[in-house]
Parts: sequence; structure tokens; C-alpha cells
Amino acid sequence: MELLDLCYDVLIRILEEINPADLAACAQTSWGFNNFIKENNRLHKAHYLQHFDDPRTTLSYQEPQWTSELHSLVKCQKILLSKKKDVKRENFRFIASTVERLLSSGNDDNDDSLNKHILRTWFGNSQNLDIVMSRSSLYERCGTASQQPANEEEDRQLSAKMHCLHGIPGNSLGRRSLSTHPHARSRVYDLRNYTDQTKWGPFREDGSMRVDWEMIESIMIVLAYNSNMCCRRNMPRFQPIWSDPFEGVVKHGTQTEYKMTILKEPEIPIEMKDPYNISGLWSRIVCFMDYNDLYAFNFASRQVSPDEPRAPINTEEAIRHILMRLQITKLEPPGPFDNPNLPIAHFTGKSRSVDVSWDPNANSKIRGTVSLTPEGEVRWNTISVFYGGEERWRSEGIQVGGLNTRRGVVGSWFDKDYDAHGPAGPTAFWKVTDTIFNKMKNEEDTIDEESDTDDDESEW
Amino acid sequence: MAATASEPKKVTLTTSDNADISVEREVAERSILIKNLLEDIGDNGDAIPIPNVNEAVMKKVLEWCEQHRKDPPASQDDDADSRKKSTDIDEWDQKFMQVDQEMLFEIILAANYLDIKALLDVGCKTVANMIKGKSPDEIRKTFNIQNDFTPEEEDQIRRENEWAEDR
Repeated sequence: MELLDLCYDVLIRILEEINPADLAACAQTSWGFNNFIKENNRLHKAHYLQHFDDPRTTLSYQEPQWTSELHSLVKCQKILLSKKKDVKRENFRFIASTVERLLSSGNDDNDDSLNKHILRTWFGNSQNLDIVMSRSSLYERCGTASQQPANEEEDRQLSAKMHCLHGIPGNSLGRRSLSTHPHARSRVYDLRNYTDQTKWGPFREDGSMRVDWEMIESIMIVLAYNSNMCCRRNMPRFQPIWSDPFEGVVKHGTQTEYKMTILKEPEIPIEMKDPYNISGLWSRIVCFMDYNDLYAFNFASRQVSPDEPRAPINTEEAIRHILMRLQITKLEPPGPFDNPNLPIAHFTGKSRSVDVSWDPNANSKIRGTVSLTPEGEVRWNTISVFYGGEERWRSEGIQVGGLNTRRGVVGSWFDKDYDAHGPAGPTAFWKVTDTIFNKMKNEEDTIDEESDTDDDESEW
Repeated sequence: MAATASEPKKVTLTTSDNADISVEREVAERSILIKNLLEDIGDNGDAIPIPNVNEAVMKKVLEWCEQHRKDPPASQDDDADSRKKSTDIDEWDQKFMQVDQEMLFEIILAANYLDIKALLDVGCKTVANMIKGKSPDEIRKTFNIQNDFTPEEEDQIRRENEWAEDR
């Protein structure tokens, strides 16, 4: 008796026990084996589900192409396991698209996403990080010899996006990212980047509203650096979610296609209609540079040519930790120039500083909108409204990881009148709890009732 | 008539080559097929025919059942999930499976037929371990598989399987 004489069920069972790459070796032994394995959907599906999250719980359900998906994932793994840098560089776009596919088809519901685990393994060494995630223009001026910017702008943006999705872990690999902070800070506080074209946010300067991942990368680095430096490390609530690799960027929860008709259902609570899951308690960090330093950096120092970055800057910044209680208030169908796939959500809320109780910049009411950009990224903007109704600060940010992820929003804050002389700086916020608080009774509620400054949000 | 506690119940199995094997009922009932048969027809002392398994293989299978007689019974739904968690084969089973390939395949088929999930599992894993990490040529040698590709076909099929190649 020979191996192939075993009955179908037994042979399948044996071939389910081997590693995916062994399937290819078996398929190359003989026609009999080749015919058994090639296009064997059941076998490839079993292998896929042993190693990766079941992709069928996510948006636009359709049976995946198990065979080709498995092949492409194994190929990516083989490339990343290789020692050859050239092979990885040549396949950079393939690797990046595979990473994005694993994130969007993953599922973090039970906090044990196989996809996240695999990505952490793939990018647990400095060579892979350097070749995939350290190729933005940031590395033109800093980084190690093996961290080289990509030749094409789209690749530099893609690499920055990979870096943003990966995050900055609190280990030696993360500290390598953080060592670029003077250059990242130089980009973040360069007021030339705050224009009508970029909407003063992390968007490209061509006015396309595509995300400027290089800006988000720099903001993330500056915030992570300042967050590590400050004494609030004992406040886990303000430890950014990105301090674990790929944390919070795998989809969370079962997704269904959003039906715009739901907007017209009066009996469904607005929270249930909200595709962005806004209502709840959010942690926020805001950093800012002393205005004199910011002014000197932008206007008093040596003038640089328009396409030349400003000098790296080590000036110490201030950091504020803020709790925001947000509540969705209104959903509008997208207008003719908006991304038609999701509605535009409006929210209001209150924000409160946990550092200094009297800081009027942090203790305010807040309102804003969430919408989809033309390329499908989730865009958040906020406006803080002081006591008496005076608007003060705006922010523009992008939810890293997209819909249904827990990573949070990274972007910039700036003057509500878009003052070309600033100030402006980096900010990030992420959700702490989904708890739906009592609906705010009155839009005109004042905030001075908050006399306590401890961290117990139950009081407000 | 009734067996006492000190004298365990026995059943007789008749193999495909007409050998009668007497075995303790508890041991034989590692096989879900035999267990269900005994429950259905009742233990009337008649020999149970096992037409798909010969004496040599049956003895080997019963040796495994004897060793594992006290294992917790396999639950109905212990499927893919529980299997993938225990990729290791215990030491006794590894030794037990050191038989020639013909016998190994016979044991696997017998375990499949007799519905002994744990033995089928060990058998399949043993074969899988013989495949893992090997080149096509090594797999052919291990299992005596005839390479029936023409050189052109072989080249074509190698290209189709480039996805799994080390880089």
C-alpha cells in the first residue's frame, strides 16, 4: 500500500498536519499528489484557518480564495524569513499589501488575533523593521545605515503608513524609532506644513485629501517620545495603545456593510447607527512648544528653501493629558463631494485636563465631526469651545487602522482661525471605554461645576 | 453467568483472516465502532466480525488500546480545534509507531475504520512528521513515489509552487 492509496479523509487529515509550505513539496512529487493538492479548496482552507484569523466575519462577506490567499501569505512569510535584504526591498509593496490585508481580514475580538501574532513575529527583528517601516523621508536625515528612504514618494508614504500601523513598542526596537525624534519634531512644528491644502491636518499638500502618513509617523514619534519622558507613565490610561506592536489596528467586532437607510429609522438609538463608535470616554494627549520657541524655530532661524526640511530640534515640549467624554449627536448623509460609503457624524462632549485643573485650554466643551476621506480613511476634527461659547482650538486627525479599530486618532491641533503664525502641535486620542454616559442634558451646560480634579470620571 | 468484578468481561473479535481474538471489553471499546456494535446487538457472547482488519494489524491496534484503556473517552465534538493544540506525540506512541510503512498505513486505516480517533490522530501525525521539511525528492524516496513528470512538466510545476520556496 502506498501513501496515496489511503482513503481521501485520511490523506486530507495527514496533509492538514504538515506545514503550508510542505504542501508545495508534496505537489511536486507526482501527478497523483499534484492532482490531490492543487485546487484542493478544503485542504487550503484548513491550513489558512489553522494559521490565520477567519476572514469571513468581516465586511462584505464572501468566501475567500483560500488557495491563492494561503500561497500569498506563505510567500510573504518566506520573504520576511529570508536573510537577503534585496529580496525584501524588491518585494516591499507586496509585503506592505500583505500586512494591510492581514490587518483588515483579522479579528481581535478575543484579544488573541492570529494575524496580529504572526505580524509581531514577522516584524520582531530590526532587519524587517528597517526595510519595511523605516523608509519614509524621515530617514533621509537620520537613522542607521540600513534605514534608507525609498526612492519613490508613494513608497515612502507606504513605509510611513506601515510604521504607523506597527506603532512604537516600548522595547529596544521602539527606542530605535524614537531616536529620530529631533527630525520628527522638526516636521511636526514646521508651520509650512499647515496650509489650506493640507487642511492644517495630516493630509498631502496636493489638496487631494489623501493622508500624509509621513506626517502621522512624525506626530506618533513625537508624542511617544514625550509620553515616555513625562512622569505620567504610571497612568496606564495615557499609555498610547501603539506601545505594543500592531496593537489596536486589527479590526474589532463583527462588521457588516453600513446601510445608509438606517439613518431614516427613528426608533433605533443614534449610538446604534453610528459607524464610528464615537460615544464614550476618550484619553487624549496634546503636546505644545513654548510659543517663543515655536516662533523662533519657524520665523527667526535661518530661512530654508521651500522643499528643504527645517533643522532637527530638541526643544522640550509640554504635554497635557486630557479626558474627553464624547457623545454622538447627529448623523447626516454624505454630500455630493463626500465619500458616499458612510454618513457624517457630529458629536459634542467635554474635555478635562488631568494635569492642571484650571487649564482653560484643556477644560472646555468640545464638538466635532467624523467622516470618511475620499480614499476611505476615517477623518476626525474637533473644535474646543470655551466657557461663554468662544471657539479656540481645532484639530484634524486620522484614525490609524481605520473603522472598527481601537488604536485611535493621530493628528494636529491648531488655532481655530488657521493663524499662519501658529500655534500648532501634535495630538492623539483613543477610546478608553464605550460606556454611554447620561446624555448631556443641555448644550449650554457650563463646565465649572467640575470642581474636583481627581481621575474619577464617574463624577462627571 | 454474570462476570464478577475480579473477572473482567471479554469479547471475541473475528478478523478478516478468520482469526478469533479474545480481548477485554473495556479495551475493545476504545473503538467506537465496536462499542456501538456491542450496545446495539447486546453482548450475547457471539464473536464480532471485523472484516476490514487482519489479525496482525488487529493485534497491534489492540496493543495500543490496552495501553490507552484508561484514557478519557473522545468526545463527539473533539475536532480540528483540539487536534491542532497537541502536535506532540507522547513517547510510548512514538515507539509504538516505529513499524514499517505498510503496517503504519494499515494501522491508520484500521483506526479510521474502527473509529479510534486518538490512534488515527497519532498515525496521521506520524506520517505528517515524515513529510515535514522535506524536498519533493526526499518525499518521493521516503514513500516510494514514482516521479511521473516529464522534465517540462516538472519545471512548470516547480514554477507553480514558487510561493513556498525559501528566499
